[in-house]
Amino acid sequence: MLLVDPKRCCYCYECVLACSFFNERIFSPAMARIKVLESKEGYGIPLICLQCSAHPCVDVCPTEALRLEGGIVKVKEEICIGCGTCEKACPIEAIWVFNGKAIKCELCSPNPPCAKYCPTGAIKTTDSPEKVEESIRFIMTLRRTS
Amino acid sequence: MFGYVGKVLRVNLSNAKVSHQELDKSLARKYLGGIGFCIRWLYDMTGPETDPLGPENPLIFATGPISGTMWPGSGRLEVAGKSPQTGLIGYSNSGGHFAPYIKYAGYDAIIIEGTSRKPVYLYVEDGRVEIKDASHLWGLDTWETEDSLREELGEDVKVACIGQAGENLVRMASIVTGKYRVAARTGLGAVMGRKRLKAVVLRGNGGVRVARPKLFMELLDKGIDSIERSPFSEHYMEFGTTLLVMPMNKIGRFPTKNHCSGVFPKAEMLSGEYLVEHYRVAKRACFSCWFHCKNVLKLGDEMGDHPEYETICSFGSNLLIDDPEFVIKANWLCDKYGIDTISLGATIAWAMECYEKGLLKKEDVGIELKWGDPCLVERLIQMTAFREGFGDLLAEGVKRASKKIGRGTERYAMEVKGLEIPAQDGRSQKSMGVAHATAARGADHLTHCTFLDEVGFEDAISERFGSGYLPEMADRMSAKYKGIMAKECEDFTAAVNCMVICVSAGFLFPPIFWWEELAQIYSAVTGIDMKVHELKMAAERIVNLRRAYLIRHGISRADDGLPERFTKEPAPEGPCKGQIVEIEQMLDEYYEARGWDKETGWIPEEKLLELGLEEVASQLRDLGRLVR
Repeated sequence: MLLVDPKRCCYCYECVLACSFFNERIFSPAMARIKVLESKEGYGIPLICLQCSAHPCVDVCPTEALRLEGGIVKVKEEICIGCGTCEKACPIEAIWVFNGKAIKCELCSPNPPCAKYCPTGAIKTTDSPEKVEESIRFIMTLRRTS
Repeated sequence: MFGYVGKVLRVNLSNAKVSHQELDKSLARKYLGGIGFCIRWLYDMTGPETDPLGPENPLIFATGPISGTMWPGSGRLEVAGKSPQTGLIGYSNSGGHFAPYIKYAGYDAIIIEGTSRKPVYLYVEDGRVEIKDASHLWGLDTWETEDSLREELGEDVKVACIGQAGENLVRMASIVTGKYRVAARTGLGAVMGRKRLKAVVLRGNGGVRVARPKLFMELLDKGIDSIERSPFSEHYMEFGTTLLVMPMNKIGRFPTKNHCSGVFPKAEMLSGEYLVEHYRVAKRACFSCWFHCKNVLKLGDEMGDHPEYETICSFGSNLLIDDPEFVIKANWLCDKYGIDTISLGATIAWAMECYEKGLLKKEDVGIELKWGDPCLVERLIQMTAFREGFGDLLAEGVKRASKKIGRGTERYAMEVKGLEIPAQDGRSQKSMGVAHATAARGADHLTHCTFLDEVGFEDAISERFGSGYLPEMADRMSAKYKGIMAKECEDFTAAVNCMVICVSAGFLFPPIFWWEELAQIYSAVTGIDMKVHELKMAAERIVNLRRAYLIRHGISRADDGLPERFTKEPAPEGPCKGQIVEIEQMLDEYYEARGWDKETGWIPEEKLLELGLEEVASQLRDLGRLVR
């Protein structure tokens, strides 16, 4: 699982570029499955699906385009109608519609490039669901105040 | 094209004409990108007849082939135009997130010409361009402008804008991107202000493709590894340029009291260590930068980036101010108004010294000037931004201000070619003397980036130049070989600024990458096989064309000088006590290394032909300024 620690995020976008490059072979923030926003506290807020246990995106999807496969929420592009219902349901804005289809992190590898290329350790891998839940709560607080 | 987008956006604000031009492939090969493009375009579009504050002066925002990739430090922006400060070629480089988005929005560069009748901002999104009304933004500072545009258009837009200083045509006005990253030098904010262009706003969904992705990633992994292993990286990542304060003070190179001395007894209060310990709340990086060298500081309710080393000197030691909180605040104030901290600090320091010496009187100034007074300096920053009272004179910069006052005040104007001298002293680091004297944009440390003798990088000198140049080249107090170092580092800096990569991301500092690595990165990204000798030739072409621009404006060896403070007043204290800058000796060596004429500082015909600049040779011949 991925773990995000915004307090360490220096807003450098290396994760964003690594993501778009490994998934789409292009350096393009728009095509990445991760976004980084600025917080009012000075550090960045990486927004990426942390595969939460609640997965409200799956529950609200009207076409069942979002499915759980081995604990990972994946998008079935052929079925997705780009309605954006999932976008509103996600507590940490980690899924959105791009070019008419939902786009999100599907945990591309056990050693994801976003974590590998993070210079500060703001994105890491973890085995602890508790830490992930804690991180989600913190990101929600940050987004409310920013 | 790989690396390059292949398109240039041209906007004329006089007639609202927008055009999209193909990027000339031979231009890309010969001038690479970034500063190379800027210099070629400025050479072609402007000349001695061009009024820097006239509608005919273009304002260029340029990227390079590496911009927008994952290469560390490749988020830099190059801005250029004819300078209202020097009347010569003006260029300034900024970090932040703006430059990559020029490419993601569909262009390698944006060239803005003409003048709008009313305040406007330029909105560019994926090849769609709009000139929009900015009357609601006119009068706002850069932070308010950024906030207001983001509220209006969404938090994902990238903004470059001017503050009140640019609007009021303050000659040292800057262009600010993302609130804290500033293209500050040579007054390009005033060019933007004259065009009544409040901001350029970008949104881009495009991307940058590289020709050889596998090779690029291999180079990147190796590059990151080299960065991590460099003994200088960790400290630099922690403090950024503020790490320089203590070591520079120790070697007597921390300009104090209008560059009288290089030793400030209270330097510790202004050090990076002090700022980080007392005020840091977060780390910040420019786009795609492994170094993340910025620190976010908090002071009361306000928060923003730390002052760079240059600003710490400008509003600290050089004004005899030892209050760190004031320096932090002065930096933010200058960012908000959009003023170059180096130029304003130096102009205020000149005024202080002239007042102390009785050359400036209370009736000239309207208020009493005294060293070390933060409240007074804060007031002067404000007065300059709005051209109020004495601020109207400060807004002209130190060269014009001292000429206007006369009475011998010119002697204390620390400038070269009209641009104020930054936070170095050639008496304690000789290479900086020749750099300040010969930089095309006026006194500058970043045109040559002669950092190798700063604290004696012997290994890098040995690798890059050969051990035969040791020990003198590494000895900051020796003038020998500094002309040679300046030539080579200037060429390399030009090449790095073409890409556009940060000079302080392992290229010029810390000394990790050199020509070989830069040629490999360029080739992997663009697919154009660039050999080291070709890259060096392109860099030399750019530097020579930049010199030709100056020669066309009447510049010669006589203008490549330094204030007498550096050449006639021995350093009064510190380890370099008694030193002066042996400028003539270093100039001889520099011109010789460049293949330029030692007597005039002009370029021989042969050199221009060798670089494929035949048309330039013929223009200089017509002016009678070509050496045969």
